[in-house]
Amino acid sequence: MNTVYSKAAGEPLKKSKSIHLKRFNLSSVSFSLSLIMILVLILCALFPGVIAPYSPFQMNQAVVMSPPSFTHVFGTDQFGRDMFSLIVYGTRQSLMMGLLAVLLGGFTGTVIGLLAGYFGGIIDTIFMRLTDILLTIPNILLAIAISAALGPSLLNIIVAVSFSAVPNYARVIRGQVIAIKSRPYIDASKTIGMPRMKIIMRHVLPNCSSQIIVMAALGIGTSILISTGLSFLGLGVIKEIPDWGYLLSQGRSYITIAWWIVTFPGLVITLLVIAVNILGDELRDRLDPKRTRA
Amino acid sequence: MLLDVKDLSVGFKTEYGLLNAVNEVEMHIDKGEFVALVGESGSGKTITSLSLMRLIEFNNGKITSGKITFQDQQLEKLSQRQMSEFRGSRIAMIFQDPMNALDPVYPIGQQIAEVLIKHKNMPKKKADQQAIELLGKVGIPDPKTRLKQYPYEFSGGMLQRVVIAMALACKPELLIADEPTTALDVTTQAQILSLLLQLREEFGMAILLITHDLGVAAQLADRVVVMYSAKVVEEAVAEKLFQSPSHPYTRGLLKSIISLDSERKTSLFSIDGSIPALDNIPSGCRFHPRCEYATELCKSKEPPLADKGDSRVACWHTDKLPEEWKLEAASTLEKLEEPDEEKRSALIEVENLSKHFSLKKGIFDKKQVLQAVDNVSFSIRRGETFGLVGESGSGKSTLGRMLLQLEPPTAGEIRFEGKKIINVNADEKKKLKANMQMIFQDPSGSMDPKWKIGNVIAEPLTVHRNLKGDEKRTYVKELMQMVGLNPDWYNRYPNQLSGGQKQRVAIARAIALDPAFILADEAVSALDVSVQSQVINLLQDLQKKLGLTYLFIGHGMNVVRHISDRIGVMYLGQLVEIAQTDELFRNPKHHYTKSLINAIPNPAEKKNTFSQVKGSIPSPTKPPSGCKFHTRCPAATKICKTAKPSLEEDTDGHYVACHHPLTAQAALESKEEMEVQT
Repeated sequence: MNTVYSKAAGEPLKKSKSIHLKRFNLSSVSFSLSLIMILVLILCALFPGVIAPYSPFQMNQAVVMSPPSFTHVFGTDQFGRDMFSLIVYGTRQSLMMGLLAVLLGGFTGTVIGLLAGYFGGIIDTIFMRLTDILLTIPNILLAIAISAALGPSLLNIIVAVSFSAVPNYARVIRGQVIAIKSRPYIDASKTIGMPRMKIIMRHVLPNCSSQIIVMAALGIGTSILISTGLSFLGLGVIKEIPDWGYLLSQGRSYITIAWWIVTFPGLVITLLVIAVNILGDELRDRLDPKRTRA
Repeated sequence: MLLDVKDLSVGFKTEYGLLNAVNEVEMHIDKGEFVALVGESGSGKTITSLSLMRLIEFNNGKITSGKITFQDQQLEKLSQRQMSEFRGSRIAMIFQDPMNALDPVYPIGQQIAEVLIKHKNMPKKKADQQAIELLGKVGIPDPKTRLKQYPYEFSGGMLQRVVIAMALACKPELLIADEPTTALDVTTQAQILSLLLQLREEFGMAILLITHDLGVAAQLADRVVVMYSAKVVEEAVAEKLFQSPSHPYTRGLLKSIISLDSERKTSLFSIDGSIPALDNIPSGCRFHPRCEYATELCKSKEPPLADKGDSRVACWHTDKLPEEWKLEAASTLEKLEEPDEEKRSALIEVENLSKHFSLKKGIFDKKQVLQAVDNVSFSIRRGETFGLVGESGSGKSTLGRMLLQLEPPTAGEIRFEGKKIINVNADEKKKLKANMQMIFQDPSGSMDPKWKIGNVIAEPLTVHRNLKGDEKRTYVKELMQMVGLNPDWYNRYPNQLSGGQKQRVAIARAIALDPAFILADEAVSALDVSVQSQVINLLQDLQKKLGLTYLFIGHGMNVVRHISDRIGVMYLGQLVEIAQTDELFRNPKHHYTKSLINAIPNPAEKKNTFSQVKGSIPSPTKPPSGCKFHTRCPAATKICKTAKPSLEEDTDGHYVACHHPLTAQAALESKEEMEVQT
């Protein structure tokens, strides 16, 4: 067959190189900073002993509640422990709680949202009324109730924290699924006889990915804060090495006389949340084919 | 001179730099003149109109150079606050989609009065009075009660009238109408266009009509400006432009129009390629990659908009264009074979098919039934193209969706190759789905934006044939070649393709499983004129090669006429007429069919009148009794209100559901009569 495609169908919409101007870009700077932040925290979680200058158990009565100085960059707490070392050692548990809770909660919520949104009808009604009930209870209260019922252990805290996030995921994903469901490409897949589960996995889920990523990025911060709350109420796991939440709640009592005890753990949590969000945004954009260029 | 635009350029800031969406545009509008600005999507016509109102600055755009002189005011120098004194009072604008142009939470009367209160400091009471008057002028019956109604209580055509009333409130000197009828049905389009003409006389205002429809431009405008790729390429008095266009692009556009008297069984003329993207504009003359007369000069140097006495043209070779120019001489391409009538058995038979949706807003609301499709029977023969036409709301898409089992019917039977297809087991359903495919209206919506087009085309193959890896790749590339796509684009994403190219992807996917039947639901309505013909030619080509059967759903009578062997006309969920295409157009028997045919604007004649059918399609929740068309029919009598006419064979193969079918003579007379009325 003699083909004439290139002319008949016109030239491809190729983007010319000339408009890719190289210039200072704020978003790429903040992206790099976020990446560095996350990498540092991961290193802290993996090798706390290498990074921390002091042992987290080392109490020094001589320097109780001393402000930040060259020897103790983040100051010391009420027992004379080095704050910087405590934060470094606490990274592992905090990150693990945040990540696992988001994974578990995000997964469950997404599955519920997909099923409820796509199938509708009675499945939708049952799932959504259940999430409505859960949504009426504040996150932290829900987490408290669950961890109180299950008893204190790391796994139970993760379950409690993730469970409190499920309704949010389910609601948002369901809305998105209902919007995607009516797109012609779903009809197009139905007309070729694609099984329902495959349509959900191959078309619906990938098109929800940006919502899931944004929610998960925000969720890591929330999860850490909720687990903080649980520690504060004595429902957390008290180990020899405190997590960031525990540090935060401990320092709260001394906020007027030793601001650094509460400030630095708080600052680290904030920076982590911001960094994860920026990474999440970047990831969402990279997954969007509309932004890929030929 | 009312408006004078000189050297206008408009840019958009993007992350890749400044995109020039309007480039050195020059045009003028005299007092009371009707000017049409014509071009395909992406040519910059809407951006030009928004710039005239300085509204472009709210859309991230910027007027980078040029002068806009309105009367003696320099519009480009005014502040936005000064500009808002002009908008709505001296220059008014109406938009494409009337639904979005009105605020859904205020009654329409309040929205019209608001304009008067703002610009004329009118007291509320007087403004309301004036609003009633305006609504009457734009032909809204019972304006006093309708004043208090909300936008959702109006039909599309009625809403566009409201928008026009709003635009006219302050008696503007210039009315900019941006595709005012594109979102409307043909019959409503004719009504709105007649209204515009009538109001122009009454108010003595100038109108700038922005449209992609050359037929509309030809019938209404005094002067036509043609834009291509952000530049004006030709400007001339309407008669001159349509009789002897001097730019190859204008010629191409005019030739690509599918006229009602074109030779049906030939391929259509089309301009190669598609309009360039703004960030990839060709050097020299922007049209040169698509132009058959292009030379080296065209590639290197941009032609100026040169004055030719009665017109202005931006082309180096306008003098060398062939003299003889005929609209009808569109194509001398290969003739398609007339298939053998004898061999055709019915591929699809539809019997008494109905689809009713029940609407219930609240627990205490009365249950309403929407009869989307009501007792429809017809058959599609093997190898033919069956066209289905009707206004929006006539149920033609629902009918198509039932055939493809996207929607279960309420009652009735569908047979494919003689076998029933409703409620069959999963295995047979899968087989059926491989045999029946669909092409959707919106090429961008019908493919997953996250999928590469190669995978989009391969999707049916993975489901039904379990093809993988290299095997799949080769097969898909063959398909891509067949529909005229470059196989190297396998890894591109849909957003990197133009509308016409995307529709080719959709077609490749539809033919992947070698189906017997393809449903094309408004498959070309979303495409530009020049690209439309390419896709229709491709569809006809494939039909010949693969022996396909099409059901072609459309609202453009001329397109459906060109491609179909037989046509069914739908009105409010019922088939009112079925006939061979030529027979239907030569000798329509139903009054509705007749009015649909008459409503098509034809660029070959300027008549300044439109034969039109009155009113708009009634709501399918409350269909009229008896013959559903009686409320709009010029020949309705008592019996039409009470008895439902059935679809009966009138002459050989010509079915009509009407108590008083038109005879050939009467059809001719009623056409004249309608023209006299308008």
